[in-house]
Amino acid sequence: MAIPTKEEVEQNEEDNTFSRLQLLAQQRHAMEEFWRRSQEQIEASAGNHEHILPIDCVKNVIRPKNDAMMLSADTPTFVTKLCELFVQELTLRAWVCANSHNRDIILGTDIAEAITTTESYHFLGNVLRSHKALGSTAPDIDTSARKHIKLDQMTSLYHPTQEMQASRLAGYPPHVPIYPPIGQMGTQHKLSPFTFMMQGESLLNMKREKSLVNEVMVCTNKMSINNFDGATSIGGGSSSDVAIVVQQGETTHPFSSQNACPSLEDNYVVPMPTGHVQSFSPPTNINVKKLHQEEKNIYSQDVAEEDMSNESLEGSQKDEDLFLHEK
Amino acid sequence: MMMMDLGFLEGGAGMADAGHDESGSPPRSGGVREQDRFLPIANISRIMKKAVPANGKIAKDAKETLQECVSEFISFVTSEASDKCQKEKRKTINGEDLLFAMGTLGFEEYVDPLKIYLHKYREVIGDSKLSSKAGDGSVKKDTIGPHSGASSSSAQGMVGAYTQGMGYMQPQYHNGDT
Repeated sequence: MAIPTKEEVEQNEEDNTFSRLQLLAQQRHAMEEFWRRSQEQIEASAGNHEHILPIDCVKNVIRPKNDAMMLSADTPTFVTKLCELFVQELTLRAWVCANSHNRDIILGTDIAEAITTTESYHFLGNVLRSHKALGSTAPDIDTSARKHIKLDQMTSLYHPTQEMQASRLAGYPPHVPIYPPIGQMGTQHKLSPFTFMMQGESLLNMKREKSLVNEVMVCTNKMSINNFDGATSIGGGSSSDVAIVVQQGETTHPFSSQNACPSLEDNYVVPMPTGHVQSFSPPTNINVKKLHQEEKNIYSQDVAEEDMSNESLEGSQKDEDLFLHEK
Repeated sequence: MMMMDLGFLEGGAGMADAGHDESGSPPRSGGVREQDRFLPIANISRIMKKAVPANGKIAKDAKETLQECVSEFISFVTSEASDKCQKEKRKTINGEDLLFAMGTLGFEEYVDPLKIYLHKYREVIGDSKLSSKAGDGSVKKDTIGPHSGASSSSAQGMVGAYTQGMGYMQPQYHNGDT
Protein backbone atom coordinates (compact mmCIF):
# COMPACT_ATOMS: atom_id res chain seq x y z
CA MET A 1 0.00 0.00 0.00
CA ALA A 2 2.77 2.43 0.90
CA ILE A 3 4.68 1.93 -2.33
CA PRO A 4 1.83 2.98 -4.68
CA THR A 5 1.21 5.99 -2.46
CA LYS A 6 4.81 7.08 -2.80
CA GLU A 7 4.72 6.55 -6.55
CA GLU A 8 1.57 8.65 -6.78
CA VAL A 9 3.23 11.36 -4.71
CA GLU A 10 6.30 11.31 -6.95
CA GLN A 11 4.15 11.51 -10.08
CA ASN A 12 2.23 14.43 -8.60
CA GLU A 13 5.47 16.16 -7.73
CA GLU A 14 6.85 15.66 -11.25
CA ASP A 15 3.65 16.91 -12.92
CA ASN A 16 2.82 19.80 -10.61
CA THR A 17 6.10 20.87 -9.08
CA PHE A 18 5.49 24.56 -9.62
CA SER A 19 1.91 24.48 -8.31
CA ARG A 20 3.02 22.48 -5.28
CA LEU A 21 5.75 24.98 -4.44
CA GLN A 22 3.25 27.78 -4.89
CA LEU A 23 0.80 25.97 -2.59
CA LEU A 24 3.45 25.51 0.09
CA ALA A 25 4.38 29.19 -0.13
CA GLN A 26 0.74 30.19 0.28
CA GLN A 27 0.38 27.86 3.26
CA ARG A 28 3.48 29.29 4.94
CA HIS A 29 2.16 32.82 4.46
CA ALA A 30 -1.25 31.85 5.85
CA MET A 31 0.36 30.06 8.80
CA GLU A 32 2.53 33.05 9.69
CA GLU A 33 -0.57 35.26 9.81
CA PHE A 34 -2.44 32.61 11.79
CA TRP A 35 0.20 32.23 14.50
CA ARG A 36 0.64 35.99 14.85
CA ARG A 37 -3.12 36.41 15.26
CA SER A 38 -3.36 33.49 17.70
CA GLN A 39 -0.55 34.80 19.88
CA GLU A 40 -2.10 38.27 19.90
CA GLN A 41 -5.47 36.81 20.91
CA ILE A 42 -3.92 34.76 23.72
CA GLU A 43 -1.99 37.77 25.00
CA ALA A 44 -5.11 39.95 24.79
CA SER A 45 -7.30 37.45 26.65
CA ALA A 46 -6.27 38.34 30.20
CA GLY A 47 -9.02 36.66 32.20
CA ASN A 48 -11.50 35.31 29.67
CA HIS A 49 -10.83 31.67 28.92
CA GLU A 50 -13.89 30.69 26.93
CA HIS A 51 -13.56 27.15 25.60
CA ILE A 52 -15.47 26.06 22.54
CA LEU A 53 -14.77 22.41 23.29
CA PRO A 54 -16.36 20.90 26.42
CA ILE A 55 -13.61 19.92 28.88
CA ASP A 56 -15.37 16.73 29.99
CA CYS A 57 -15.29 15.43 26.42
CA VAL A 58 -11.59 16.29 26.19
CA LYS A 59 -10.97 14.35 29.40
CA ASN A 60 -12.82 11.33 28.02
CA VAL A 61 -10.65 11.39 24.91
CA ILE A 62 -7.43 11.69 26.95
CA ARG A 63 -8.08 8.97 29.54
CA PRO A 64 -8.41 5.79 27.45
CA LYS A 65 -4.76 5.78 26.42
CA ASN A 66 -3.42 7.17 29.69
CA ASP A 67 -5.00 4.95 32.32
CA ALA A 68 -1.78 4.63 34.32
CA MET A 69 -1.21 8.37 34.51
CA MET A 70 -2.95 11.19 36.35
CA LEU A 71 -3.70 14.63 34.97
CA SER A 72 -2.85 17.90 36.67
CA ALA A 73 -5.60 20.49 37.07
CA ASP A 74 -4.37 22.53 34.11
CA THR A 75 -4.02 19.65 31.65
CA PRO A 76 -7.62 19.36 30.30
CA THR A 77 -7.88 23.12 29.80
CA PHE A 78 -4.45 23.17 28.19
CA VAL A 79 -5.37 20.33 25.83
CA THR A 80 -8.62 22.10 24.96
CA LYS A 81 -6.72 25.19 23.84
CA LEU A 82 -4.20 22.98 22.07
CA CYS A 83 -6.99 21.33 20.08
CA GLU A 84 -8.51 24.65 19.09
CA LEU A 85 -5.18 25.78 17.63
CA PHE A 86 -4.71 22.42 15.89
CA VAL A 87 -8.17 22.50 14.30
CA GLN A 88 -7.72 26.07 13.10
CA GLU A 89 -4.26 25.39 11.67
CA LEU A 90 -5.36 22.30 9.76
CA THR A 91 -8.56 24.03 8.57
CA LEU A 92 -6.56 27.00 7.29
CA ARG A 93 -4.18 24.73 5.39
CA ALA A 94 -7.17 22.94 3.88
CA TRP A 95 -8.69 26.31 2.94
CA VAL A 96 -5.51 27.17 1.00
CA CYS A 97 -5.84 23.81 -0.80
CA ALA A 98 -9.48 24.51 -1.65
CA ASN A 99 -8.58 27.92 -3.05
CA SER A 100 -5.82 26.35 -5.16
CA HIS A 101 -8.62 24.35 -6.84
CA ASN A 102 -10.75 27.50 -7.30
CA ARG A 103 -13.28 26.42 -4.67
CA ASP A 104 -14.72 28.29 -1.67
CA ILE A 105 -15.80 25.11 0.13
CA ILE A 106 -13.47 22.80 2.07
CA LEU A 107 -13.94 19.12 1.25
CA GLY A 108 -12.52 16.04 2.92
CA THR A 109 -10.05 15.77 0.06
CA ASP A 110 -8.68 19.23 0.92
CA ILE A 111 -7.98 18.11 4.48
CA ALA A 112 -6.32 14.96 3.19
CA GLU A 113 -4.18 17.07 0.86
CA ALA A 114 -3.21 19.40 3.72
CA ILE A 115 -2.21 16.38 5.83
CA THR A 116 -0.06 14.87 3.09
CA THR A 117 1.70 18.19 2.39
CA THR A 118 2.52 18.90 6.06
CA GLU A 119 5.41 16.94 7.58
CA SER A 120 4.25 17.21 11.20
CA TYR A 121 0.91 15.62 10.28
CA HIS A 122 2.38 12.25 9.27
CA PHE A 123 0.74 10.56 12.26
CA LEU A 124 -2.69 11.34 10.73
CA GLY A 125 -2.14 8.99 7.76
CA ASN A 126 -3.78 6.15 9.69
CA VAL A 127 -6.77 8.38 10.43
CA LEU A 128 -7.36 8.96 6.74
CA ARG A 129 -7.31 5.22 6.05
CA SER A 130 -9.60 4.43 8.98
CA HIS A 131 -11.92 7.24 7.89
CA LYS A 132 -12.32 5.58 4.50
CA ALA A 133 -12.91 2.24 6.22
CA LEU A 134 -15.52 3.80 8.51
CA GLY A 135 -17.32 5.35 5.55
CA SER A 136 -20.26 3.02 6.15
CA THR A 137 -20.94 4.40 9.63
CA ALA A 138 -20.94 8.03 8.46
CA PRO A 139 -24.16 7.68 6.43
CA ASP A 140 -25.94 6.47 9.57
CA ILE A 141 -24.94 9.64 11.39
CA ASP A 142 -26.06 11.68 8.41
CA THR A 143 -29.42 9.92 8.37
CA SER A 144 -30.06 10.62 12.05
CA ALA A 145 -29.04 14.24 11.58
CA ARG A 146 -31.34 14.59 8.60
CA LYS A 147 -34.22 13.08 10.58
CA HIS A 148 -33.62 15.61 13.35
CA ILE A 149 -33.57 18.42 10.81
CA LYS A 150 -36.83 17.14 9.29
CA LEU A 151 -38.42 17.03 12.75
CA ASP A 152 -37.37 20.63 13.30
CA GLN A 153 -38.89 21.58 9.96
CA MET A 154 -42.10 19.75 10.87
CA THR A 155 -42.37 21.68 14.13
CA SER A 156 -41.64 24.91 12.31
CA LEU A 157 -44.31 24.09 9.73
CA TYR A 158 -46.89 23.40 12.48
CA HIS A 159 -46.45 26.87 13.96
CA PRO A 160 -47.82 28.66 10.85
CA THR A 161 -50.86 26.37 11.17
CA GLN A 162 -51.53 27.90 14.57
CA GLU A 163 -51.15 31.32 12.99
CA MET A 164 -53.72 30.30 10.39
CA GLN A 165 -56.08 29.25 13.18
CA ALA A 166 -55.46 32.60 14.86
CA SER A 167 -56.28 34.39 11.62
CA ARG A 168 -59.46 32.33 11.32
CA LEU A 169 -60.43 33.34 14.85
CA ALA A 170 -59.76 36.94 13.85
CA GLY A 171 -62.01 36.43 10.83
CA TYR A 172 -64.79 34.96 12.99
CA PRO A 173 -66.14 38.33 14.31
CA PRO A 174 -67.14 39.55 10.80
CA HIS A 175 -69.33 36.45 10.47
CA VAL A 176 -70.90 36.78 13.93
CA PRO A 177 -72.96 39.96 13.37
CA ILE A 178 -76.44 39.37 11.88
CA TYR A 179 -76.48 42.60 9.86
CA PRO A 180 -75.98 40.90 6.47
CA PRO A 181 -79.07 38.67 6.95
CA ILE A 182 -81.12 41.73 7.97
CA GLY A 183 -79.90 43.43 4.83
CA GLN A 184 -81.02 40.47 2.80
CA MET A 185 -84.43 40.55 4.48
CA GLY A 186 -84.61 44.24 3.70
CA THR A 187 -83.90 43.52 0.07
CA GLN A 188 -86.60 40.86 0.12
CA HIS A 189 -89.05 43.38 1.49
CA LYS A 190 -87.96 45.84 -1.16
CA LEU A 191 -88.54 43.23 -3.83
CA SER A 192 -92.14 42.73 -2.76
CA PRO A 193 -93.13 46.31 -3.78
CA PHE A 194 -91.65 45.60 -7.19
CA THR A 195 -93.80 42.49 -7.36
CA PHE A 196 -96.87 44.56 -6.42
CA MET A 197 -95.99 47.11 -9.10
CA MET A 198 -95.62 44.33 -11.64
CA GLN A 199 -99.00 42.98 -10.62
CA GLY A 200 -100.45 46.48 -11.02
CA GLU A 201 -98.97 46.78 -14.47
CA SER A 202 -100.39 43.40 -15.37
CA LEU A 203 -103.84 44.58 -14.21
CA LEU A 204 -103.61 47.65 -16.46
CA ASN A 205 -102.65 45.47 -19.41
CA MET A 206 -105.64 43.23 -18.69
CA LYS A 207 -107.98 46.25 -18.76
CA ARG A 208 -106.63 47.28 -22.15
CA GLU A 209 -107.10 43.76 -23.45
CA LYS A 210 -110.69 43.75 -22.18
CA SER A 211 -111.37 47.00 -24.04
CA LEU A 212 -110.10 45.44 -27.26
CA VAL A 213 -112.25 42.36 -26.68
CA ASN A 214 -115.29 44.61 -26.18
CA GLU A 215 -114.72 46.28 -29.57
CA VAL A 216 -114.56 42.87 -31.26
CA MET A 217 -117.72 41.75 -29.46
CA VAL A 218 -119.51 44.89 -30.60
CA CYS A 219 -118.79 43.97 -34.24
CA THR A 220 -120.07 40.45 -33.60
CA ASN A 221 -123.19 41.91 -32.02
CA LYS A 222 -123.90 43.81 -35.25
CA MET A 223 -123.50 40.63 -37.32
CA SER A 224 -125.78 38.70 -34.95
CA ILE A 225 -128.46 41.41 -35.28
CA ASN A 226 -128.50 41.01 -39.07
CA ASN A 227 -128.41 37.19 -38.99
CA PHE A 228 -130.71 36.33 -36.07
CA ASP A 229 -133.71 38.61 -36.41
CA GLY A 230 -136.05 36.13 -34.69
CA ALA A 231 -134.01 35.85 -31.55
CA THR A 232 -133.58 39.59 -31.39
CA SER A 233 -137.30 40.03 -31.92
CA ILE A 234 -138.06 37.80 -28.94
CA GLY A 235 -135.63 39.64 -26.67
CA GLY A 236 -136.58 42.90 -28.32
CA GLY A 237 -140.17 42.32 -27.40
CA SER A 238 -139.46 42.23 -23.73
CA SER A 239 -137.03 45.13 -23.90
CA SER A 240 -139.09 47.06 -26.43
CA ASP A 241 -141.78 47.52 -23.85
CA VAL A 242 -139.32 49.19 -21.51
CA ALA A 243 -137.75 51.19 -24.37
CA ILE A 244 -141.12 52.33 -25.68
CA VAL A 245 -142.20 53.38 -22.24
CA VAL A 246 -138.99 55.38 -21.82
CA GLN A 247 -138.74 56.77 -25.39
CA GLN A 248 -142.37 57.68 -26.01
CA GLY A 249 -141.77 61.21 -24.80
CA GLU A 250 -138.81 61.80 -27.19
CA THR A 251 -138.98 59.56 -30.30
CA THR A 252 -141.92 58.24 -32.39
CA HIS A 253 -140.05 55.51 -34.51
CA PRO A 254 -140.70 51.99 -33.11
CA PHE A 255 -138.11 50.46 -35.52
CA SER A 256 -135.39 52.59 -34.02
CA SER A 257 -136.52 51.53 -30.55
CA GLN A 258 -136.27 47.90 -31.64
CA ASN A 259 -132.71 48.48 -32.91
CA ALA A 260 -131.76 50.09 -29.62
CA CYS A 261 -133.25 47.27 -27.59
CA PRO A 262 -131.03 44.52 -29.16
CA SER A 263 -127.93 46.54 -28.35
CA LEU A 264 -129.03 46.86 -24.74
CA GLU A 265 -129.89 43.17 -24.71
CA ASP A 266 -126.47 42.30 -26.11
CA ASN A 267 -124.79 44.49 -23.49
CA TYR A 268 -126.84 42.71 -20.86
CA VAL A 269 -126.02 39.21 -22.22
CA VAL A 270 -122.27 39.66 -23.00
CA PRO A 271 -121.17 40.14 -19.35
CA MET A 272 -121.77 36.58 -18.21
CA PRO A 273 -120.71 37.04 -14.54
CA THR A 274 -123.69 37.32 -12.24
CA GLY A 275 -122.08 40.14 -10.25
CA HIS A 276 -122.09 42.37 -13.31
CA VAL A 277 -125.74 41.51 -13.97
CA GLN A 278 -126.77 42.47 -10.45
CA SER A 279 -124.82 45.75 -10.62
CA PHE A 280 -125.94 46.49 -14.21
CA SER A 281 -129.70 47.16 -13.66
CA PRO A 282 -129.45 50.27 -11.40
CA PRO A 283 -126.69 51.90 -13.53
CA THR A 284 -128.73 51.24 -16.67
CA ASN A 285 -131.65 53.26 -15.37
CA ILE A 286 -129.38 56.05 -14.22
CA ASN A 287 -127.50 56.10 -17.56
CA VAL A 288 -130.76 56.24 -19.54
CA LYS A 289 -132.02 59.20 -17.51
CA LYS A 290 -128.71 61.02 -17.95
CA LEU A 291 -128.82 60.39 -21.70
CA HIS A 292 -132.19 62.01 -21.93
CA GLN A 293 -131.20 64.92 -19.74
CA GLU A 294 -127.70 65.91 -20.91
CA GLU A 295 -125.70 64.03 -23.60
CA LYS A 296 -122.36 65.82 -22.98
CA ASN A 297 -122.50 65.44 -19.20
CA ILE A 298 -123.43 61.77 -19.57
CA TYR A 299 -120.42 61.23 -21.91
CA SER A 300 -117.95 62.77 -19.45
CA GLN A 301 -119.42 60.85 -16.51
CA ASP A 302 -119.22 57.59 -18.46
CA VAL A 303 -115.54 58.21 -19.16
CA ALA A 304 -114.93 58.89 -15.48
CA GLU A 305 -116.71 55.71 -14.44
CA GLU A 306 -115.52 52.13 -14.91
CA ASP A 307 -115.47 49.83 -17.96
CA MET A 308 -119.17 49.01 -17.59
CA SER A 309 -120.03 52.67 -17.94
CA ASN A 310 -117.84 52.77 -21.07
CA GLU A 311 -119.79 49.87 -22.56
CA SER A 312 -123.10 51.62 -21.87
CA LEU A 313 -121.68 54.79 -23.45
CA GLU A 314 -120.75 52.88 -26.58
CA GLY A 315 -124.27 51.47 -26.74
CA SER A 316 -125.76 54.95 -26.43
CA GLN A 317 -123.54 56.30 -29.22
CA LYS A 318 -124.64 53.45 -31.53
CA ASP A 319 -128.27 54.24 -30.81
CA GLU A 320 -127.74 57.89 -31.80
CA ASP A 321 -125.86 56.85 -34.98
CA LEU A 322 -128.68 54.52 -36.01
CA PHE A 323 -131.22 57.26 -35.31
CA LEU A 324 -129.33 59.78 -37.49
CA HIS A 325 -128.85 57.26 -40.32
CA GLU A 326 -132.51 56.36 -40.29
CA LYS A 327 -133.54 60.03 -40.42
CA MET B 1 -13.16 10.09 41.86
CA MET B 2 -11.49 12.22 44.49
CA MET B 3 -12.05 9.58 47.18
CA MET B 4 -10.60 6.98 44.87
CA ASP B 5 -7.61 9.21 44.32
CA LEU B 6 -7.08 9.49 48.08
CA GLY B 7 -7.30 5.71 48.44
CA PHE B 8 -4.80 5.37 45.66
CA LEU B 9 -2.38 7.70 47.44
CA GLU B 10 -2.74 5.84 50.73
CA GLY B 11 -2.25 2.49 49.01
CA GLY B 12 0.69 3.91 47.11
CA ALA B 13 2.42 4.80 50.36
CA GLY B 14 2.61 1.12 51.37
CA MET B 15 2.85 -0.83 48.11
CA ALA B 16 3.27 1.50 45.15
CA ASP B 17 2.98 -0.83 42.16
CA ALA B 18 0.47 -3.35 43.51
CA GLY B 19 -1.83 -0.73 45.02
CA HIS B 20 -1.68 1.35 41.88
CA ASP B 21 -2.62 -1.56 39.64
CA GLU B 22 -5.44 -2.80 41.84
CA SER B 23 -7.13 0.54 42.56
CA GLY B 24 -6.50 2.21 39.20
CA SER B 25 -7.93 -0.11 36.59
CA PRO B 26 -11.59 -0.80 37.59
CA PRO B 27 -13.15 2.72 37.58
CA ARG B 28 -11.35 3.98 34.48
CA SER B 29 -12.02 0.93 32.36
CA GLY B 30 -15.72 1.08 33.31
CA GLY B 31 -16.03 4.80 32.62
CA VAL B 32 -14.76 4.72 29.06
CA ARG B 33 -17.33 4.49 26.25
CA GLU B 34 -17.09 4.30 22.48
CA GLN B 35 -19.31 7.37 22.16
CA ASP B 36 -16.60 9.42 23.84
CA ARG B 37 -13.96 8.56 21.25
CA PHE B 38 -14.56 11.82 19.38
CA LEU B 39 -15.26 15.39 20.38
CA PRO B 40 -18.66 16.88 19.41
CA ILE B 41 -18.71 17.68 15.70
CA ALA B 42 -20.69 20.89 16.29
CA ASN B 43 -17.90 22.33 18.42
CA ILE B 44 -15.31 21.21 15.86
CA SER B 45 -17.34 22.99 13.18
CA ARG B 46 -17.39 26.24 15.16
CA ILE B 47 -13.60 26.21 15.57
CA MET B 48 -13.14 25.50 11.85
CA LYS B 49 -15.33 28.46 10.89
CA LYS B 50 -13.13 30.78 12.97
CA ALA B 51 -10.15 29.90 10.75
CA VAL B 52 -11.99 30.39 7.44
CA PRO B 53 -13.13 33.71 5.88
CA ALA B 54 -16.82 34.58 5.97
CA ASN B 55 -17.37 33.44 2.37
CA GLY B 56 -15.79 30.05 3.10
CA LYS B 57 -17.88 26.90 3.43
CA ILE B 58 -17.05 23.54 5.01
CA ALA B 59 -18.39 20.22 3.76
CA LYS B 60 -19.68 17.65 6.21
CA ASP B 61 -17.09 15.03 5.28
CA ALA B 62 -14.37 17.60 6.02
CA LYS B 63 -15.81 18.14 9.51
CA GLU B 64 -15.96 14.41 10.17
CA THR B 65 -12.40 13.89 8.96
CA LEU B 66 -11.13 16.66 11.21
CA GLN B 67 -13.15 15.27 14.14
CA GLU B 68 -11.19 12.04 13.87
CA CYS B 69 -7.91 13.92 13.35
CA VAL B 70 -8.36 15.86 16.61
CA SER B 71 -8.90 12.70 18.66
CA GLU B 72 -5.84 11.15 17.04
CA PHE B 73 -3.90 14.35 17.75
CA ILE B 74 -4.85 14.28 21.46
CA SER B 75 -3.82 10.64 21.78
CA PHE B 76 -0.60 11.32 19.88
CA VAL B 77 0.47 14.24 22.07
CA THR B 78 -0.68 12.86 25.42
CA SER B 79 0.96 9.50 24.82
CA GLU B 80 4.24 11.28 24.06
CA ALA B 81 3.90 13.34 27.24
CA SER B 82 2.98 10.23 29.20
CA ASP B 83 6.08 8.41 27.97
CA LYS B 84 8.27 11.30 29.10
CA CYS B 85 6.65 11.34 32.56
CA GLN B 86 7.12 7.60 32.93
CA LYS B 87 10.79 7.92 32.05
CA GLU B 88 11.17 10.54 34.75
CA LYS B 89 9.17 8.34 37.14
CA ARG B 90 6.38 10.90 37.52
CA LYS B 91 2.68 9.94 37.49
CA THR B 92 1.02 13.24 36.68
CA ILE B 93 0.96 14.86 33.26
CA ASN B 94 1.03 18.65 33.35
CA GLY B 95 1.18 21.54 30.90
CA GLU B 96 4.95 21.59 30.60
CA ASP B 97 5.00 17.93 29.60
CA LEU B 98 2.54 18.62 26.81
CA LEU B 99 4.51 21.64 25.63
CA PHE B 100 7.69 19.56 25.53
CA ALA B 101 5.86 16.86 23.59
CA MET B 102 4.64 19.38 21.02
CA GLY B 103 8.20 20.53 20.43
CA THR B 104 9.43 16.95 20.11
CA LEU B 105 6.69 15.98 17.65
CA GLY B 106 7.36 18.80 15.20
CA PHE B 107 4.79 21.35 16.36
CA GLU B 108 7.27 24.03 17.40
CA GLU B 109 4.91 26.82 16.32
CA TYR B 110 2.50 25.87 19.09
CA VAL B 111 5.01 26.25 21.93
CA ASP B 112 5.26 30.03 22.22
CA PRO B 113 1.51 30.83 22.10
CA LEU B 114 0.73 28.01 24.53
CA LYS B 115 3.42 29.13 26.98
CA ILE B 116 1.68 32.51 27.18
CA TYR B 117 -1.68 30.79 27.54
CA LEU B 118 -0.46 28.50 30.32
CA HIS B 119 1.06 31.41 32.21
CA LYS B 120 -2.15 33.48 32.07
CA TYR B 121 -4.26 30.45 32.91
CA ARG B 122 -2.31 29.73 36.08
CA GLU B 123 -2.59 33.35 37.18
CA VAL B 124 -6.36 33.21 36.81
CA ILE B 125 -6.67 29.75 38.34
CA GLY B 126 -4.60 30.79 41.35
CA ASP B 127 -6.91 33.75 42.04
CA SER B 128 -10.06 31.71 41.51
CA LYS B 129 -8.86 28.89 43.74
CA LEU B 130 -8.09 31.26 46.60
CA SER B 131 -11.51 32.88 46.36
CA SER B 132 -13.99 30.17 45.36
CA LYS B 133 -12.63 26.62 45.27
CA ALA B 134 -10.67 26.48 48.54
CA GLY B 135 -11.60 22.91 49.49
CA ASP B 136 -11.21 21.38 46.06
CA GLY B 137 -8.03 23.32 45.48
CA SER B 138 -6.48 22.09 48.70
CA VAL B 139 -7.37 18.48 47.94
CA LYS B 140 -5.96 18.66 44.43
CA LYS B 141 -2.81 20.33 45.64
CA ASP B 142 -2.32 17.66 48.27
CA THR B 143 -2.42 15.10 45.50
CA ILE B 144 0.00 17.16 43.42
CA GLY B 145 2.34 17.89 46.36
CA PRO B 146 4.49 14.72 46.33
CA HIS B 147 4.77 14.78 42.54
CA SER B 148 5.69 18.43 42.53
CA GLY B 149 8.45 17.61 45.02
CA ALA B 150 9.71 14.88 42.72
CA SER B 151 9.59 17.24 39.78
CA SER B 152 11.45 19.88 41.76
CA SER B 153 14.21 17.38 42.54
CA SER B 154 14.44 16.35 38.88
CA ALA B 155 14.37 19.99 37.79
CA GLN B 156 17.94 20.49 38.92
CA GLY B 157 19.09 19.18 35.55
CA MET B 158 16.95 21.52 33.40
CA VAL B 159 16.85 25.00 34.87
CA GLY B 160 15.22 26.85 31.95
CA ALA B 161 12.19 24.59 31.57
CA TYR B 162 11.36 24.17 35.22
CA THR B 163 12.10 27.61 36.57
CA GLN B 164 8.52 28.57 35.73
CA GLY B 165 7.36 25.38 37.40
CA MET B 166 9.19 26.28 40.60
CA GLY B 167 7.57 29.70 40.55
CA TYR B 168 4.16 28.09 40.19
CA MET B 169 4.70 25.43 42.85
CA GLN B 170 5.64 27.81 45.65
CA PRO B 171 2.08 29.27 45.76
CA GLN B 172 0.76 25.71 45.87
CA TYR B 173 2.81 24.92 48.99
CA HIS B 174 1.60 28.13 50.53
CA ASN B 175 -2.02 27.29 49.75
CA GLY B 176 -1.46 23.76 51.05
CA ASP B 177 -0.15 25.05 54.34
CA THR B 178 -3.11 27.35 54.83
